[in-house]
Parts: sequence; structure tokens; C-alpha cells
Amino acid sequence: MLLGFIYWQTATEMTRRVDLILTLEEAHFNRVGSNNLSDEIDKSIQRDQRHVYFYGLFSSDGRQIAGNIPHPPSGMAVDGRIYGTTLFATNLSQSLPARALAVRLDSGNVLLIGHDVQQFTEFGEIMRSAFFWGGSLTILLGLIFGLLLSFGPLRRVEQIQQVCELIMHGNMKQRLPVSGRHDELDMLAVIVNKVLDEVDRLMSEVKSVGDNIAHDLRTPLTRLRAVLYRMQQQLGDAPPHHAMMGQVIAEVDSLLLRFRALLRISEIENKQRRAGFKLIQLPDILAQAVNFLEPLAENKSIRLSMVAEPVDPINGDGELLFEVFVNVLDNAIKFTPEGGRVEVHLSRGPRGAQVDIVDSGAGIRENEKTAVLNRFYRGENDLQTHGFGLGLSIVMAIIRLHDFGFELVDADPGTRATVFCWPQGV
Amino acid sequence: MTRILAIEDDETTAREIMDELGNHGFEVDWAGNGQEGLDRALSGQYDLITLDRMLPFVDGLTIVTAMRDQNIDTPVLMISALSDVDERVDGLRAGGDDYLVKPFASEEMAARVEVLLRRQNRTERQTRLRVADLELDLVTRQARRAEKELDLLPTEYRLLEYLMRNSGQTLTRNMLFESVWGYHFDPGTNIIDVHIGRLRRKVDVPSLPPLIHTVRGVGYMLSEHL
Repeated sequence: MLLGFIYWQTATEMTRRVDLILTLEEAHFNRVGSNNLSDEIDKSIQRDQRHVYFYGLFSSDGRQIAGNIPHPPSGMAVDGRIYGTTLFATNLSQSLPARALAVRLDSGNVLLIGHDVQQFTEFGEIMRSAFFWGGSLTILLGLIFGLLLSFGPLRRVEQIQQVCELIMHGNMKQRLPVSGRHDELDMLAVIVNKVLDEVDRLMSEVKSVGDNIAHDLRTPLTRLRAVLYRMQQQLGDAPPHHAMMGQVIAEVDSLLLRFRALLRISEIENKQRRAGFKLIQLPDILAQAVNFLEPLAENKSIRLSMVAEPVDPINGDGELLFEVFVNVLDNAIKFTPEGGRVEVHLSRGPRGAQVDIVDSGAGIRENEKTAVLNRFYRGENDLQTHGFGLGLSIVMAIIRLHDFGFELVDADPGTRATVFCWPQGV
Repeated sequence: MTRILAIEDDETTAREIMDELGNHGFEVDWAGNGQEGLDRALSGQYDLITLDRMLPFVDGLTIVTAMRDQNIDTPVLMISALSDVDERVDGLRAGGDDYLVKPFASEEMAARVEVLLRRQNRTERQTRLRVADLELDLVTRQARRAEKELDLLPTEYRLLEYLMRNSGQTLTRNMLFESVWGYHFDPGTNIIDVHIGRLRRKVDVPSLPPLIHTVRGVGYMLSEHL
């Protein structure tokens, strides 16, 4: 831009000067008079050591009388105005770009005066080349420095993105990295970290309140049940009290079951260490779970089948994984109408073993997928089916402990639950 | 008379244990702290001990370890608020015979005590179990009812074996799940009842008097008479 401006300015100035010189030369020749004009032209040519001037005196029919131009350039107006043109110089034997003017003298002859502007073109070339190289270098350096400068923040944004993904997967102990440069990214990270601290604190507060309620209510409930049970024993089989008592005890039992499940979830969630992990044979555990729930399926005339490809042993807690499969299978059977089918498929993927449990039930709606994994959620289809909604929360707690993956998808028809038995990096 | 020692620092829990076991016709002594419990346990004059896992002064694991070191093989039912599998394994490894998690239903506790006492009395290695006209051959793994062979699946066989080994005793669903399947969580559904129902259809055919009885609010019992 700047170079372009300089070039334009300089070229204009040089043209102005050349034009001025041409005007002065014309005036000079005018003063000389037509008789001595040829001599004066020869002298001028001799004086011009740099060979930048062109002179030509032509008769009215275009014949050369004097000067170093053989003939006037075609198409050039003879009106005393200065034009840019190309002239052939006999003393240099070459055509050159020039500024020139032509005037008709009183004698009828034509006088042409020109000035070489080759140096302008050369200057332009130099400027253009300077422009090209200067520009290229500037752009290149700019790009290099820009890339260098942007790599740092970009890497940090990537780190932030990775940490955010961990947090979204429930790892609330993760915090955004702070580089210590006190720049905008750092300021943002510090603020977000404070928010996360607060969210984490609130979450554990809510959780511990929930756990405490479950824990504190469980003991009196157990005692209540003990008293009711004793009363039932003492009342004997006399109706109607016995039946009512049985009903009351059953209600207390279902309350206790819920509290136990709630506490079980936090028990598993608190179990941070995995020292108890051993090498587990998935086909064995799956077969046990299928075998355990088979009568339940049979009662509903559901065809429960299992296909197991050979897989490598996995590292885990066999008892907890059995609980996972029992829960998922139990759910699948619960949501499958009579005469349906539930299929268990153990396969070996590129990253590890994978267990799919597919049922032919009503399926699962998109908006229910994450909800069903939360505590207490029960699907609308579930109104006639008993169950406490805590099963899948227990499943999720165990899956997280193992760093496995779990997915519920609509298999159309039915639902497909998948357990991915390899580290998910959460 | 069967004498039981309850080592338990929480008075309410101790009273519950004493009341329930008293109802079952046992004489129950109470030790309120670990030191007293250890002294009494080492006296060897009890048929069974219920032992709280966490006690003041001397903890439950130390007591059971000390007992086993002195070759006192009184059956011990560990009772603990720690439900973790590792805790259970620690308790059983130290010499406990069974492990019950607090808070517990008292009949569950009593049922476990009964089973432990019965186990203690059984000395000779049996190859054949018999209850009324129901027979189980532990060597050939064959079951017969009224001279007719029963076609049992492996799970049904294990369930029947456990019921027959503890015939005349109330067995809770948890006890069945733990003993037959070997797991300790709450299966949550009525799946144990379904398994029992399936076994019942094979064992208690309509023409014969039923042997598998439901103990309302508690569990099941296999016996000739209810």
C-alpha cells in the first residue's frame, strides 16, 4: 500500500519534471528560429551525453530534415501537447518509451521533442519488485508469527475443551488449567473454576443431605418393621388384622428397599479405589445373570437367549458387574410384553468387549434416554410394572466406577442397552 | 438350653437382638463393650455369638481373631454397618461365620442364628439328604420325591440342597440369594420367589403334601410339617 503510494507519487513527480523540461526545450527551439534549427538540434544531440533526448525535424510531408528520430510516431497529434509514446532513436538503434510533444512550425515543418522515460519503467520495476518481495516477506513473517502466537492459546483452548468433556462426564473434581500468564484465558478459567467449586460443593451438600436422610430414616424404619412383625406374630392368623398387617409390612419393606438402593448408590460412588478389581470372565458372569433371571422371563413367556463370542478377561468387580447385568436384564424383561424376546449378545469390538441387551418392548423415547439413568425416574410405560427406578442409577454408579460406557438406544422396536467394557477415559 | 452372647454397644440394637432371640427360645447374655465381650467369648460357654464389627476398646475383628487363635470355634454372626464387600470378606476371613448388615430385620438375624446353630450340630459328612419322601443324593446329584426322579436344573438343585440342608429352618430371601448364587446385593425384584415357585412346581406336585412352605414376611422353609 505504502510502496504503491510512493511509486505513484514519484512517477507523477518525474513525469511532471520531464514535461516541464520538454516545455522548456520547445520554448528554446522556438527562440532559435527556423534557419538555425537543424544545427541547434544536432548540437543538442551532441550535448546529450546520457542519450535521453529525442529530436526530430520533419518536413510537412513527413520527411526527416534533422534529428535522431527517422519518422514521427504514427497517430501522434501535432498540437504541442505532451503524450506518452514510443520513439525509435537512430543513434541508439532502439525503440524506447518516451514523453514527447510535436509542434508545427511557421515554415510548415514539424518539430518533435521527446524525453526517454525508460528510467521510469525501470523505477517502476524496482518498486514492483520491492513491493512483491517486501509484501511476500511481510505476509510470510506475519503468518509465521501469527501461527506461533496462536498456537499457545489454541493449545490451551484444546486443554480447556478436554477438561470440560471430563466434567460433563461427571468428573466434578476436574478444573480448567490456569497458565499463570494472567491473560484473558486465565481470567476466564479462574472464574469458571470458582463456579465449578461452588457447583461441586452444592452437589456434595445435596448428596450428603440425601444420604443422611436415607441413612437416618432407615434405622427407625427397620425398627418399625420389627415392631410390626412382632405384632403380626402375636395377632396370629385372625382376619382381618393379619392381612392388613401383611400389607403394612410390605409397604415398609418397599420403603426400606428404596432407602437401601439409595445408600447403595452412594456406597458405590464413594468407592474410589479399585483395589478389589480382578480379572473377570464376562461370559461366565453373563451366563449367571441370564440363568438367574430366566424364570422371570419364562413366567412372561419371553424368549431369553444369549450369544457370547470369546472375549479377553476384563479387569473389574465381578459381583458389581453381575448386579449391572441383573439390573439391565431385569429391566428388559419388565418392559417386554408377554411372548416377546430378550437377547443378550457379548461381542469383541476393536477396543474391547461389548454387551448388548436388546428387548422387544415398547422402546425408549429420545427425551427419556438420559432421564432414565437418573435416580427415581420411571418411564410412562412403566406405570403397571413395578420397580423402583433406582436400578439404572445403581448401574450407572457401577459403570462409572469401572470407567466403562453405557448406552440406551431405541432399537425400533424395543430398547438396546449396551455396556462398553473398556476404559472411557473419564 | 442354647446360650447366646450378644456383643453390641448400641443398647437399642442389643435389646432387639435379645428380644428376638428370646422369642426363639434362646438364653441371651449381653456384653456392651469389646473388652467385656472378649472376656466372655473366650470363656467358651456360649453356643453362638452375635458380634458387632465396631466396638469401643476392642473391635469385633480382634475378638473373633482372638477366639479362633485360641481354638474356640463358637459360631460368630458378625453384625456391621459396613456393607462393603471388602468389609464382609475381612469379617469372614478373620473367622466370622456369617455377616449381617445393619440395620437388619430381626427375623433375618434370628434365621441366620438358627442356621449357624444347626450347622454347628451337623458333624458327619452326608452323602444323602432326606426330608419325608424327598431325597437328594449329593454324589449322583439326583433328587427323588415319592420314589419318582425329579428333573432339576443346576440352580434348582443348589436351591433344593440348601433348603434340605437347613430343613425345618426359616431361610430369608437374602440368605437364599447369598448361599445359592453367592452374591450379597439386594436383587430388588421378586426373582427369588420366582425361583422357589419353579422348584415348588417340581417338588410339590398336587397329589403330595407340600414340603416347601412360605414363612410370611420372612422367607421359606422346607419341612414335613409347618
